[in-house]
Amino acid sequence: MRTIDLSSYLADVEARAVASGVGRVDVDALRNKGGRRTAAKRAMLAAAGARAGGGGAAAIVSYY
Amino acid sequence: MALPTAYAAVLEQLGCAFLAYRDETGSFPVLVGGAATALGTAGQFMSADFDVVADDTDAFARAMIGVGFIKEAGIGHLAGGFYHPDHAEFVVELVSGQLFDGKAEHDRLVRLRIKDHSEIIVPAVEDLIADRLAQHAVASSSDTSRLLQARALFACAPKVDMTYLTRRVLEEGGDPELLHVTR
Repeated sequence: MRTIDLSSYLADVEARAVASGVGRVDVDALRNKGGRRTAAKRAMLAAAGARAGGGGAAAIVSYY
Repeated sequence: MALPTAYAAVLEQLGCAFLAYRDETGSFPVLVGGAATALGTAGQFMSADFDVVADDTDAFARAMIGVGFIKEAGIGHLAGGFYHPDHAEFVVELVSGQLFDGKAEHDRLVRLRIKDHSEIIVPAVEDLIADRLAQHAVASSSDTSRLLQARALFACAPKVDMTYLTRRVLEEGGDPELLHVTR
């Protein structure tokens, strides 16, 4: 198993994202629209969204 | 695009749980799905859920609770879920089954060291791409997100074993031609 420091891994990937144009892809287009999520996943994302709202945290957009 | 602070914090805590699980069981959990894809694209998109595969459900729960995660209250659909009280907008789900139904080659897993006490194991990029294309194959025609994720992973990968990638995509029921790019 290869071992890589996360920070250097992310820096390398980000450089490739910029060079390849991936960094310009619309973020929402990359998000799972949720059509085939399991009932468990929908319940967990709903609970997480509710906690985010209650705690004032900025929720990451999830479709479910 | 750097990982958001809260996302990185949850990842670090999850990495602590991964090590605690390793210490107890001698094996590693593996981060899969959208969260692993987010890392493989340097955070081009984020999801609020972290999907994990681990063989020992009870040991994983002990590891998570031991580093400060809270088990979702209730039973049924929320069983298998955890959240960290400092970043409760995220959820960690222990998903059932073997890693990619036992078809992935374990020596291709990648260990991402976050800090001395925290590390995450992710699948090889070829396995992640295969998984994304397999999900695309059964997704609604209006939802191309997993195809775009697969292409983004492919473009961002430092190197790809095309023979292994093609084999794994076909095993998972995806179409390798959809990547339609050359390296």
